[in-house]
Amino acid sequence: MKSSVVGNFPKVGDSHEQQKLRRGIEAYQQQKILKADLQEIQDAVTQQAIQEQINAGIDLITDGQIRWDDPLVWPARKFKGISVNGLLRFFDNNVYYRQPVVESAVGWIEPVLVHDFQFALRSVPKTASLKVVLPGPYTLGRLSKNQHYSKIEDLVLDFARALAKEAKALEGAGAKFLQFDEPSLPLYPEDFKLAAKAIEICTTPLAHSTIYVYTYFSSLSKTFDDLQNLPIHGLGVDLVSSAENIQLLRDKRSAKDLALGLVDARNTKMENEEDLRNLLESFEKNLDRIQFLNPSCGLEFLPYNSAVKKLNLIAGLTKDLVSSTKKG
Amino acid sequence: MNLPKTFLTTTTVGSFPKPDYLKKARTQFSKKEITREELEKLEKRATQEIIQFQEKLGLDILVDGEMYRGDMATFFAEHLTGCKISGLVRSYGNRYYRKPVVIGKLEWPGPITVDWWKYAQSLTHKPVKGMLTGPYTMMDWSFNEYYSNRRDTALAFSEVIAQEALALEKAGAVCIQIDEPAVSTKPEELPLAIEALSRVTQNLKAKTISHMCYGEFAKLYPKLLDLPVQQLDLEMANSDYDMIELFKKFPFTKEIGLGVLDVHNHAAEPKETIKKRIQTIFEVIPPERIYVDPDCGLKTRTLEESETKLKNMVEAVKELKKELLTYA
Repeated sequence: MKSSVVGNFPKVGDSHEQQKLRRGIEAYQQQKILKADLQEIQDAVTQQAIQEQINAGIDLITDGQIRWDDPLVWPARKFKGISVNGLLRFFDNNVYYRQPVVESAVGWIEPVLVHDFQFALRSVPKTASLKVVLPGPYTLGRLSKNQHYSKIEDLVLDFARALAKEAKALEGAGAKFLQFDEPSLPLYPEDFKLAAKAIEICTTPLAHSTIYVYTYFSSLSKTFDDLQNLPIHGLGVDLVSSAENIQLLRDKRSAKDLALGLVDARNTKMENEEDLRNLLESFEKNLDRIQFLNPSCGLEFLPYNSAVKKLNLIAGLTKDLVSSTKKG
Repeated sequence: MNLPKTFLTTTTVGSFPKPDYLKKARTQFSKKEITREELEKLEKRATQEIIQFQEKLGLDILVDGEMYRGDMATFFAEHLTGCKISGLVRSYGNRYYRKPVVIGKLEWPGPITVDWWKYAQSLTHKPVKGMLTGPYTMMDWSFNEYYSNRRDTALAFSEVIAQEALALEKAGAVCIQIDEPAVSTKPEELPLAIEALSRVTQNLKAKTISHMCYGEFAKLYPKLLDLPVQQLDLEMANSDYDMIELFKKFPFTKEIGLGVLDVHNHAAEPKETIKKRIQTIFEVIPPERIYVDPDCGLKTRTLEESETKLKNMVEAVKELKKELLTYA
């Protein structure tokens, strides 16, 4: 069992130093600094986000998605056929994203995240591993404004083809762990076949990566059984947003490995470690399936200091559990 | 003070853009470079200017413009016992804000907005709305470290907001708006939002309004009509009046605050467009139950943009009223 995160990490904190990215973006928008200057700041903040995860003792980290303008759909902006529209609410959060507008056929032009991945990889010590997070094709289709395709099916499958190329490029650059985020998938169980087909397109070209699909914010009660048939290694399950997910893992054995969203990444209240241990022990049917413990979703919904505390909690709990299993 | 006994009453949703001198002063205050008294002096000046601005435009029901508020939830939390304010969290892009954190039993410390309402009302003979954030939205947009669940938190907020609403009414407010934009994000929690809001409005004699925006209202309708207020103020221009088909199916039984101006668009809607938008709703709601306003607060527009948009809105209403009286 290892500790991990779901994706993003707060880009700014409360100190002057921790707000350099905010100032940098503002200065860049006002043409007071060059793109290269902004990139230098983004690099420094990315290294800081990586360092926070390493300091906490997280085993499988991300680059904190410091360059992403929104929680999920940002990489799609670099695909062919996409422009950007007004603000929309990101699921049930008081957080907004600029909606991708599909103006013509979606296609992959060039690597979007490879540079970020390679940069992050250079900053990761041997004690930890790096994963890359991509938006899932179905969720991208759902969160976009479709002005081109007559059917959402065609849009989702073209997103999948573009993401497959991106994933392949990442694997070629050395990525060993890829994660596709599909928070929209559980909300439309009637579209499961489409989502599954799209995910299969994304994963087919990958030769040796470990592939996880993460769902968060909602119940898997209507999709859990079908999710078992996806061509992936593991499932990320949010145990905080839905009590039904807790019951599901008590009642059913998962055919996939599991990454459990154990700690609330949308509330500053700190969980009691003993409660979390008891919760984990209640998943008797799946104990050997649990590969990762992580927050319920990206940590950017929290202030910086709370995000760090949650990282410490997850990493500490995982280490304690591993060491008590070894002793036992 | 009485509300205008008329039809197609014009008003606005609450916020107006802050003048540059006030923005600068707020930054200076946050850096402790000026005193609270110095800031308040400028907030009063800006309030006076925005009241004059609305009078000049010929709006029927005025607002204080919220010159003394930052975020609509955090402003109240800054004053409530049992709340503290979080570190920065991202709203979207490079925009960050601080959220309320509930850390103890919520208590009303005494009037929060009443002096501001009294001041604004003293500047005009037209009615000024009392403006509050609803208990469901306060709960949904806060971190909660004290109450054991969302329901307890929402109901605790309703107790303190009820006291503030009564204080506004006692001071003379004949119209109180209690905003609940978060209601649209979790349709399954609409009964909780209704229960919490009813505790705020149950003892009020003033006209009660609730504003909502940027959500999937279709999922809430017609249950939305059970919200215990006389008027629902809805963003309609941005969503292209797609609710009208639903109103045909399930009659809209309350007064409507009809959003006719897209507040996220710089361009001013021509008078004819606004007239058509209002006429569209005549099919399902009679003019005496229609209040005309922008989709949402105008704080993200410039004052010049707000002026042109509102001028066209007031002109459109004037012409429509004339036409209606001619053909009556």
